[in-house]
Amino acid sequence: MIQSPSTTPVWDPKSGPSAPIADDSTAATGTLAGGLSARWTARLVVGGLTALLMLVAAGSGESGPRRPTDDAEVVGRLPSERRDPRLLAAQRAKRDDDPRSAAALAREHLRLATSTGDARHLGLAAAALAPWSAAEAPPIELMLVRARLLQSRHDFVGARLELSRLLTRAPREPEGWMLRATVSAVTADFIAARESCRRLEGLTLPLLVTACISAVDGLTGHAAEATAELKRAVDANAEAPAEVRAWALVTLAELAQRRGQDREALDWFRQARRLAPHDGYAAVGEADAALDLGEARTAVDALAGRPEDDATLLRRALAARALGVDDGSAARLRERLAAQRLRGETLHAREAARFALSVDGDATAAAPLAVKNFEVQREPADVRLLLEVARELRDARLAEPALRWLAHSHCEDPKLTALARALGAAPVKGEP
Amino acid sequence: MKTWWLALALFLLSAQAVAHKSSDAYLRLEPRGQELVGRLDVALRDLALLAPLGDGADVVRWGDVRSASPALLRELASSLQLESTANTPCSAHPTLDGVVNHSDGPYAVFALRFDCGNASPLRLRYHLLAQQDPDHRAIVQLATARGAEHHVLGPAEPELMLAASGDGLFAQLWTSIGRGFQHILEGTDHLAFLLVLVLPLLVLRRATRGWSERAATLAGMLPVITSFTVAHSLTLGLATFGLVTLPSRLVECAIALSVVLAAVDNVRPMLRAERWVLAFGLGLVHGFGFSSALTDLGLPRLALFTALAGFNFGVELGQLLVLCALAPLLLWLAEQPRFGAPTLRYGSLFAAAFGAIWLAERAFDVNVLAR
Repeated sequence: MIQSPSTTPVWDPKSGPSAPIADDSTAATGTLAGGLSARWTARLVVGGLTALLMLVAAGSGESGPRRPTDDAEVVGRLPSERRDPRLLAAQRAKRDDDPRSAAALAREHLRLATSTGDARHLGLAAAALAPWSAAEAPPIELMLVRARLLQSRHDFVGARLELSRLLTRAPREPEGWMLRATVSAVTADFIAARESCRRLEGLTLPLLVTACISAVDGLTGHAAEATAELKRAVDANAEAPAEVRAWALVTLAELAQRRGQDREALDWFRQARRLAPHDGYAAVGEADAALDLGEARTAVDALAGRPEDDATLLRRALAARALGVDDGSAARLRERLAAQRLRGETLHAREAARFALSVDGDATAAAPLAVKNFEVQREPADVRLLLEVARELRDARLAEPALRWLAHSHCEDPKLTALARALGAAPVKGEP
Repeated sequence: MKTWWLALALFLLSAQAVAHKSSDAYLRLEPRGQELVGRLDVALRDLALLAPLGDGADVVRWGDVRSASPALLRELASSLQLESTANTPCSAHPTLDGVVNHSDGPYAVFALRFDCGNASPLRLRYHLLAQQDPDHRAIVQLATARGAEHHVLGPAEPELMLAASGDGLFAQLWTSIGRGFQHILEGTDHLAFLLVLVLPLLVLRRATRGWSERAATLAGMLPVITSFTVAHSLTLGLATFGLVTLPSRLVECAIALSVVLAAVDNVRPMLRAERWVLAFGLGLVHGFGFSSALTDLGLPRLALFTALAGFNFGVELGQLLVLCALAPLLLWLAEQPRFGAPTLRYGSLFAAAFGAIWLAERAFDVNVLAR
């Protein structure tokens, strides 16, 4: 703390500023000659240069490709589903002049896209179908797979178009009607959805028909009746395949959510997941229901062993946040969403919006994503997302499309109507 | 048998987005005279669609990539093409350069060099994997003299027109000077640091009020400003050319800390060093801060020289301007019998408080001062 008298001017509280503290000329040129300060100068310079050199050494090894020196070094791992027996069989059976074999291969890729959560399979499916894109009257199988691919890519308008062409040619094609029901419901065309379900009657299992109709009824203000009906059908069709029963249970879970029964929804989702353990929809649904109930631990358990698709990662991140831990999911999803943004895709707008709103707590960033997402898909989850963003921003205008959906559907989901009320909209009553 | 399918279809159809990422390749290009150099990162699993990688097993070894590389390089040369103005293809020289990890796994890295003879490259065509995966995209980062351009290439848009080199040297320099000037005027923390450094020199002087005295005082600022300039130019250069890279949060925190240190030192001397030494040592930190404004632009290496020179000049210009504007005021204040000491003391404390707030904001990622 001792300052040599001839060095830097220092304000002395006692003598005040007008005291001659330093000789101007010395201060101006610095005092390399001053013993103490010269030593310090040297130390500072040497220290600074050493630090700089260390930084250079540390910085140089950072980015850029790594070039292994050993040929035996493992540089990566290819996905094991590449050796999936059904995929391999379809690949072997594929012939360039046979559209049915192309459709079969594409269907295998779609199956893998769901079971692994890997979007690359959508591209591979598209590649299999590509040679037949201009075919005049492609086989019905091919049109079905094409519609499913369009639906997976959230091109619901394209899927509807493909389906109407398909169903004109093959009006007794149950998968086509089922697809049409789903695509119509997602785009809030409840009349077409219910009609499609009705057309399934006599074409497929009665449980599927009931589940289809109940799902639409649940969205349009008849959740209680639909629940009773579907429960009866589930009990009456105990011999139906596990996957079909699981789907009926998932529908029951969603009906419970429409009635505001989160605990009941959690139970239905869980039962569905037991019946179809590889089904991601039931697991993600269960995780969402658990998160709504504030049981983050249950959400984590429901997702155990799931492949890391965006939907799963998002719920893991939300659960981790609720538990106050960091399992890295948020960082991984953030990185992935950034990579998807670079592609200029909006396929993941739902996940991106919910991530921004609920993980980052940034409603402003979530708003355009939620709006864009709602332009494409309008399921209760999308309605809720938009309403929540609007509530955070106290912007009822932003929520208008969602409020219109509520009024149009007469959906009685208490979470949605409460959000709408909070935004100052009149509660929705009455028959559709 | 149909119902089985149906059940499966239903799950798919619950409109759950599949995820992971679709197939992307990362293409970075940078013009260098008549050449275009760069690199292309392609996922190993995408390369496996083009050539057999490994012998049926899932594990890929470096040797597998190397032995597949002749086929892969042929494929690359035919699906990543560059044409010159005269529609003549430029010769491509791709080489396998190593591996790197992106968010969705391991990628092979190919170094690229296109030689277009005397013509300048004009049109880029990309159709790698277009047959195998129509969802494949190339995320292109193109270095231009104005900054990085981003493009997405895929089957729907396989072509990219490369703008002619455009701006002349003078225009580039002028833009860079503007950038540097703007950066320093917006950089309150840098200015605060500089002011804190020169404040004692301005305020603590003999009581005489002659013009020569005032001139000497102003001249006394020169070594300080010069050493700050030399120091931050040094680190700015190192950082801009990627010789040193530091996490930006660390740098930002260190800059805030430098304001606190220099300010506290004015009131309670503790750094036993000359003003100019302080300016140099702490100025090194500020250079790293400046560099982010420049490296974020993603300029080609050649344009970087011009940009660096211009930017630096702009920064000096800006800081001199601010000092020139403030010096008369400070001089006048210091000459008022009752104001000199409080100016130094409270000015420094004020700066220290701001520096501390900045430090807290940057260290803990919070927002105290509304922006």
